[in-house]
Amino acid sequence: MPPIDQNAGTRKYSLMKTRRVLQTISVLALLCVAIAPAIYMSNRISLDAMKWWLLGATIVWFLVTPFWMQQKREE
Amino acid sequence: MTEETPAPVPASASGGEYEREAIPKRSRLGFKNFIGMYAGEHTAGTELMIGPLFILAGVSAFDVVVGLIVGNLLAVLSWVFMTAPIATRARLTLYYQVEKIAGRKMVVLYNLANGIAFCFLAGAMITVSATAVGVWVGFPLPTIETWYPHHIGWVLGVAGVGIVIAFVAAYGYRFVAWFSNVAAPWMILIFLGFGLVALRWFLDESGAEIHGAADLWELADTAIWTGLHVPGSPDFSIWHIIFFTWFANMAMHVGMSDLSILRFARKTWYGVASAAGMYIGHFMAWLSASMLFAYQMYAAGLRSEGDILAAAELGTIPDPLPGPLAWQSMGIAGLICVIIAGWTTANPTIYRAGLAFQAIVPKISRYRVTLFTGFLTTIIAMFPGVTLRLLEFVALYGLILMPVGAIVFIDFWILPKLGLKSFIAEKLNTDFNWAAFGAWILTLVVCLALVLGGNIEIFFVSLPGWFLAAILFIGGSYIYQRKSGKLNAAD
Repeated sequence: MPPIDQNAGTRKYSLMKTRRVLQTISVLALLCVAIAPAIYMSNRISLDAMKWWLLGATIVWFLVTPFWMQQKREE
Repeated sequence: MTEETPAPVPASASGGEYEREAIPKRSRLGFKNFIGMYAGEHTAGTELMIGPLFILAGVSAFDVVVGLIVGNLLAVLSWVFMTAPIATRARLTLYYQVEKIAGRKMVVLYNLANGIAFCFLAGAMITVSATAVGVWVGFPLPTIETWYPHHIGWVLGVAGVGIVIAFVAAYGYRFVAWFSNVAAPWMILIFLGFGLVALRWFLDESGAEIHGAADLWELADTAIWTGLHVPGSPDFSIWHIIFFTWFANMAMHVGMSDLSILRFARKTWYGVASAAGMYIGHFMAWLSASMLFAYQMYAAGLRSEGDILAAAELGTIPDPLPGPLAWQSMGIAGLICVIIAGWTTANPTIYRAGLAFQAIVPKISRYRVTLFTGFLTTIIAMFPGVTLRLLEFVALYGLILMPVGAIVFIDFWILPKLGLKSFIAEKLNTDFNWAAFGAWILTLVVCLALVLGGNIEIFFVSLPGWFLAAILFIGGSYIYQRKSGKLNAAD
């Protein structure tokens, strides 16, 4: 009979919590990608500022999203 | 486009499973799978090329907006009423269904035609990606008049991009399929951003103010989609836009290539998921990309027919290259978008072309065939003329594969009603059905003769071509099955 892993439940909860945090960061990055051009369009930020916001959000999206998307795939 | 553009499909649909059997109930997929797949598949690198080509083709605001709405609706209806009903009843791949109808030899020919078409399509995607790499690395990019490899830097740049894509397609297809899923939502928003940035530029340059929909329409009509045609490009009316949009993915809906995808759908109505791809990739993305290029024309002072004619004579029409357009509007994020859009869609296209070719030479490993396909595609990508003629090529691609879709449709719905047998090649255990082969080739010969003779434009010929293929196949099947006594043999 295999040994019972008493911490399995805690680990699963912690994994789910991490995943929620990562998903939230991804959503925020995506919102930034959507909003930056809209704000530029309404003439509230410069083109350069918008490009920097987009680059930052892009980096965050590609750094964070693969972790939770991969997790989901493996599940 | 694309897709016109073949792209990541559900893992279970990408080959290796149920290739020669109907999809069992347990393996069928829900509606959401198809929404995501269609949205990602049709937001490709080539969309960034098609939008600017619309501007060169002189589209007006009413024509492009209404034309895209109607054309995309017709495309969705084609998926819903032509492809999906057969896919969810037969639940077979197109290849297996064609083999049952027309025999193994026809499948080999179909694979050859499909593989070559995929190579050209993937070549255009590599060209698109290379224009972004060129901005970054600094090699000279082609102009609107460049048809051949014009500079050693361009050749090396395209070769670099193409070879990387070829190796990844051969060895890391599943990684790219997964990565394109990661990139898809981000890419769609970047495409939307192209349009918003271009709109700001138009407002600044024209001094117009937007207080409502009427002002926006006024700007669109007088500054963005002005209807001014650039000599040397096709001259588009609303009918061109409707038919081009409808048939941009003709190989997939009317041509039945998506039987292989939609056979996994639980319900027939899941075909409406194609609307996600059409109205994101072939409406929003095309309009956004066209606005970016329209601004280049507007800012260059090309605001009347006389201006454009003069610029065309002087060779000063701006170049519709996605890389520089994306760089100016969105900076590095824009360049990344162009590279990823080209890369993630070229990869599965090369992979599928490799599979198509490998079916012809099964003794050579898939890796080797895919690598060879990738190198062939890279050579095609070095010719920018192919990409600059993308509108015509997309129409030709659909035309070549469309008759096979007509044959599948008639075989499934009409032949049994006429007292003829469906899947006759399987029933007769033959590897060649000349009725199907004849319908395909004769349709192509007649359609191409009409186009080359100047009787009808390539964008319109596929519709009468479908009916011609249907009639030829019915007539051919009647002779093949009844007159030769094969109908009894099949019983």
